[in-house]
Amino acid sequence: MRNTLKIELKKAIHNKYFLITFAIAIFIALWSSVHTFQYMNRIQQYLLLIGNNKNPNHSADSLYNNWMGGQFGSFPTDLYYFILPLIAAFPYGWSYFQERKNGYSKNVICRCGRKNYVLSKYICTFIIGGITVLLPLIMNYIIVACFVPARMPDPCCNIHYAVFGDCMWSNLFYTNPLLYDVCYMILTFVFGGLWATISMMASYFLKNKFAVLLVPYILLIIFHYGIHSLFEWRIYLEASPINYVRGVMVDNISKEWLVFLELFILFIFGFGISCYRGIKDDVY
Amino acid sequence: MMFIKLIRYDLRNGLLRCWKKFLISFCMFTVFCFDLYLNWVNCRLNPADLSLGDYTIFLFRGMREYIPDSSQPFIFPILWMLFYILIFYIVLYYPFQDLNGFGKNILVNSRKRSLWWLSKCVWIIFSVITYFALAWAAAIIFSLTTGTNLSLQINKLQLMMLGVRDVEMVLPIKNFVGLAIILPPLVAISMCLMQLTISLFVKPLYSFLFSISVLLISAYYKSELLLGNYAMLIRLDIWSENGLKSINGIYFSIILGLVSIVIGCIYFCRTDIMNKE
Repeated sequence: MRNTLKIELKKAIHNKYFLITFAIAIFIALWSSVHTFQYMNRIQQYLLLIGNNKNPNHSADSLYNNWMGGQFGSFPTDLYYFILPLIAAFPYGWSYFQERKNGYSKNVICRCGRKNYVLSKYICTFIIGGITVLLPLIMNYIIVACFVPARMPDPCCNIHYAVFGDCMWSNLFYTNPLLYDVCYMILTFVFGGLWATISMMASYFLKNKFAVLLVPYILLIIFHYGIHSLFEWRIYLEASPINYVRGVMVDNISKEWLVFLELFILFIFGFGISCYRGIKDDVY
Repeated sequence: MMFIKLIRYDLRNGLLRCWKKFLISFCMFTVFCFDLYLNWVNCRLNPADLSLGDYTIFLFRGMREYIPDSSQPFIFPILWMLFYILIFYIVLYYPFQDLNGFGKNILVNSRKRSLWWLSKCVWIIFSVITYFALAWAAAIIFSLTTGTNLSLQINKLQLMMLGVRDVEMVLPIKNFVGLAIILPPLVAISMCLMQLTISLFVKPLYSFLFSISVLLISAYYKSELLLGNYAMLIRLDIWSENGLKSINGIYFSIILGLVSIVIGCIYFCRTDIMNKE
């Protein structure tokens, strides 16, 4: 199992899809940092202009609402979160499908057994999916922290943070914002990982690589549409992962129970079906 | 003659055999129409006042100009994006499936790579037209089923709900109908051709990613240089004086489509196509 996992991780990191997707994600994170830098420059110029006569409203801008996870009204950030499921799935979500198709899996299963192979593949897909979405966020956080002060968020300025009383972990945000951001990074990692494994699960039902990676994403967009347009008069909670993995309230309020329930469902589907079919199905 | 045979082959394999994708799209269009119906019921308005024109504008409206603000999140126009994402996905796979399969024999028999490429471009045009025809068909069937009239006149209340402030200055109905029929499919054709050409240079999955990004950036920034803007009827000059000029959208789409075909053709004729994903 350990050896298989090592080989899988090595394969995952040394493939073109991982490198290209990771480069795209890093590029967007850098773009977002530049965007924030320009915004902070404009704010500085404005403060110089108004002098000391007016309230500079310092607490409106802080590291906690200028890094990607806490920001809105910035195109790179919105783009990143919109394509986040694709960024998670592209690096390695296709590999199980590909290996089943070209017969590589048969050779591996002969040597290490089905259970080891499927489990290693699942863990590796999860880790690579999670890392690809997490590392750009950490990089952006560090860069933004270099030029935006980490001022403690003031609940009076909640309109600038878009973290309101009812929001998930809002208490944490106004008492320990760093921990809040770490929690959201972990949430993004877990969602990215689970989403990549959904592509692995889709390998059993779909017939081409494009479909394996894109159909789950299109279904997610349809789900988002259902929540935010079709049933917007009925559902007032944030059920779409595209929005709730962000540390801000984009449209509706997110709740812990709903987020964890959805992640649990993703895990059950991804892990359950992948392992069940992977162990039971004939490889020939 | 060979070109016609190629087109027939592509239409049979890429369009008729993919009927399931188009059927799913048709079901989605019906859901979109139901969405508008539901909106009116929830606003305690009479859905019988809706018309085919209302369903059309609802499908192709897009969103109003977004002005970035630190207290105003960007809520992307999900219905509009979903509509275009579906067609991008439908036309993504077939050319590469064909190139890696039986299409290789066809390519050899046709003796000209450019014919194969042009045939794929024609297939894209037909696919997009079919897709939009299905959208119109779904709107017409839904209108007939719910007893709304088939007129293309747009309800003033609907316009106000979409954020058109000066309802009285709306141009004559035939201008709107002309634009609604021509501009969105034209933009879609040109973007699909661009996606096909880009997928020659990078992997098709990344060209799909690029298409989605173009849609999102178009929704985010109102600019004449971002093609997606012309696919959003609400941003055009038929509603406001500072709207985007529709005629520019038509020219832009045609030019981009032709440029994509030419660049793709030149590149395809010179590149190594063996085992191209």
